[in-house]
This record gives sequence, structure tokens and C-alpha cells, in this order.
Amino acid sequence: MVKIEGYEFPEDYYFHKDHMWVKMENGKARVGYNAWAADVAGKLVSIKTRPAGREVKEGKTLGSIESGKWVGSLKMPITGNVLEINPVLGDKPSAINDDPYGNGWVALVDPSDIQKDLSGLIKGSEKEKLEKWLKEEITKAGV
Amino acid sequence: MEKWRLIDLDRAPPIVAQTFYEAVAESVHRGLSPNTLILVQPDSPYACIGYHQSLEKEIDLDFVEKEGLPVIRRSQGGGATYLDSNQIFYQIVAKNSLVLPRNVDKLFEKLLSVTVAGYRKLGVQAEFKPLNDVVVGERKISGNGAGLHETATILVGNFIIDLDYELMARVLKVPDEKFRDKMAKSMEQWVSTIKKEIGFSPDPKSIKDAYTDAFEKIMGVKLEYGEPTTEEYRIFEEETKLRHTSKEWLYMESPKKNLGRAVKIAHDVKIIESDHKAGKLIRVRAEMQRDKILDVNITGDFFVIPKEAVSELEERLKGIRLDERALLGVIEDYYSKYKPDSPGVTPKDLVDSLMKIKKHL
Repeated sequence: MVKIEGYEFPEDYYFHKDHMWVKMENGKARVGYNAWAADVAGKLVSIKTRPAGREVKEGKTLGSIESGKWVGSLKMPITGNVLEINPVLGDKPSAINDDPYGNGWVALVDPSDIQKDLSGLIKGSEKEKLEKWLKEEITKAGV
Repeated sequence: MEKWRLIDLDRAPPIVAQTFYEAVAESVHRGLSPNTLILVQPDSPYACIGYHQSLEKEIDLDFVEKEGLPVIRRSQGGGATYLDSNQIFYQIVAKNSLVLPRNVDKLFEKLLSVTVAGYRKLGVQAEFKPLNDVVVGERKISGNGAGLHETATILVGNFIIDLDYELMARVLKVPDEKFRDKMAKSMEQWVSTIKKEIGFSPDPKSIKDAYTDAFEKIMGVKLEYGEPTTEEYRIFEEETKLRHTSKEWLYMESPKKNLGRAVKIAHDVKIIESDHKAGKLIRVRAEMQRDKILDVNITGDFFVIPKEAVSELEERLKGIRLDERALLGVIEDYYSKYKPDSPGVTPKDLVDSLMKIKKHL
């Protein structure tokens, strides 16, 4: 596990610029929201996602999240067919805050061209690259 | 110093007042427009629901149809509300601004400090209440919501000049009229207005001046008057307006399950109704401040002898927090002193029914 600015980033996960992660599991991809983004969003109280069975392209909206009075988007980190949405999140969206890389996963995806998509992501083991990107994001996050 | 555009849309129809900023956000996201503050006053009344809410569960559709009130689903969070020309909206849309935090709590704290300063210039002793409220004493005096539109950050909120509490309670869907009465009274107690606080309604210009002055000082930016661009008008007409007036958008399915009814009145005050099926159905309706019972009404398909005994229990529960042991203590003490006969309902059932309220807090 890599720790950057106090936030954990598992080494075997891949990270997308829109703050989603990808973990490969036997050819399928599990995706979720990273620990930093979940923290800056605040405790999530609601989530709405596209239903399973749809193809969603990389960068397109997989769903929306709400923390109190703030609404943000979950962007698909890879292109693929959504096989399953985490059933835990319906009752407890804050599982994303509590356990972003485990119990708080968002969707299981059958990827369309995983090699191409993964090449555009940052792997957790690439600490320097990840650190540079996150610091830029934190700077963008402002004062 | 960053330069931001200031657009004053003056009075505008509800669809413009509530959604035009989304067209601006799209244009800001595409890099076609500068960071912008919009000020606008709705020219007529309407009902508005939060992005993740269910239209049919939140709004009394028969009433709004009869009254000809439009309903708009905003793209920001929060709850259902009634809005009219007694409010002035501020809508902040920005991208890559160094003065705007991405951290949501900090975003609210910074931008609501502008709202607080604006209110204070008007003579209203407003304060920021974490995480995202502006209050006078403990009374809410501004509604706010935020979100991200692609790469553009949005925060919208209002100055409440005056409020029609009855109509506000009327547009919301409630289980029955008693719930509505309770809600209206609670709103009068917990939601304030500029008129209530200073005794008169200031003219819109003085409110806008107070806000923009505070905005420049606190945010450290220079506001320059501008107009919407042709592209923003095009996005509004061809994308934003079409989306917001479509049935698919308005009737969008809500992710929240129907587990009773909860209406947020102010920052930490809610009216909640919850059913619990033990041997009998126990219906609890409570006015809650965080986890503290302010007022409670217990009904259902059970009976208690003597019937006045329920009122005594309701009275004893006021001020008690939703803690199983505390509730059981109060209820068992009540049973030992009053010895009410409540066939099919035990003290534990009453505790369980009250604890169900917690799901809505």
C-alpha cells in the first residue's frame, strides 16, 4: 500500500484522473472511488448508478453521489459492460468513505479493451507518478 | 487577483433562475467562459427538488398542478423546497480557481462565510454552522447546495427575504394533514427570514450589493459586470432547458428507498414518521433535533388504557436522545408509575419503534 498525503493507494490498483480506481480480478475489473476523493466529498448519503447490463465508455458517467448538499459524478475509468453494482451502497453509500478499496467498491465490469484502457491509468506501484498527479489535484482543490 | 464575471439576471422565470447556471457551468467547463457569479430572483413561485429525490414522494403533485406551480429538479443536492420572488439566488460557477476549495466542507465554509457577511451587512446576525448551514441563533436563514459539473465547481444558495410557511408546507407531500401542520409550525420555529430578523424587506439591490461586496473581500477576487455569451444562451436553450423540462429528468427514479417519511426543516431539525410492526403497528411521528426528541406523537393500531396515558408518555419522551437504554429507562419508569394496559405492545416494542427514527437522521 502506497501512502500519499495521508491517503492510501493500493499498489496493485490502477487510478484514473477522475478519481476512480480499477482492480483486475480474473479478467474482470472491479472499480471504485479513491480514498482522497471520498474524503474531500465528505460522508456520502446517496448514490445513483447506471443499472448493470449497460456498456459505459471510459470517461462517461457511471453514476452520481451526494454528500449532504453536494452532488458529484462517478466517471467510468475504463470502457466495458457493467456486470454488477455493489448492493451494499444502496443502503450505505458511506461504505465508499469507510472502505473505499474494499467493501465500498462501486461496480464490477467486463472490460472491452483493458490493455488499452490500463495504459492510460496510473498504477499504485508508480508512486512518483501517483504523487505528482495527486499533488496537482490537491493544488487544484485550492485553499 | 482573479477576475470573475458578475451576471445579474434580475428577475427571471423559474426555469432560468433555477437552471441557467448549468449552461454557464458547461461553458466554463469547456473553457469558453470565465469564472462567474450569477445573481437572480425568480419572477414567480415554483417547487424544487434535490437531484437524488423522488418527485412523487416529495411533492404534492395534485396541489402543484391545481395551483399551476412548475416543479424543477435541480442538479444539486439537498431537499424539496418552495421558492418564489422573495428569495435572491447567488450561483457560483468556477473552474481551476485558486480561491475555491475542492474539499466540499471547506468549499461550503468559505462560500457561506460570504453569505454570512452579506447578511450581517443587512443587519442580520447570521453565522456559519458546519457543515453547510447559515443560521441566526439556531434558525436556518439560507438554503445552499453544491456540486461538480464535469470540471466546473458549482455552489448555489439564497437570501431569504420573506417566506410563505404555509405554502412551503403545502407543496410537500406528507402522510396526512396533521403531519403538514406539525411541519408548518416547525418551519416557522426553525426557519427565519430577513424580514423576521430586521422587521422589513430590503430592496433587492441592497442585498445584491451586500453580497457582491462581501464576495470580493472574502474571496479576494475582482467582480466585473458581464452578460451571458451567445454560446451560453445556446447551451441553455438546446441542452439545459430541454433536459430540465423532460419527463425523464423530472420523474428520474430515486435511489432512496421508501422507509417512512422525513422532511428536513432546518440544519439539524427534521420531522420524521416511521412505522414499526411488532405484535401491533406502532407509528411514531417525531420532531427531532439531531438525535434529540423535541416532540413526538405515537399512534398505530394498538390501544392503551387509560387513553390519556399515551400523551403522558409522549411528554416524558421530550428531550430524550435516541439511545436504547435511555429510552427503555423512560418507558419502563412510565409503565411502573402509570401501569397502562397496552395489549400487544411492550416497552421494548416502543423502544424499537422510536429507534427506527434513527434511520432518517
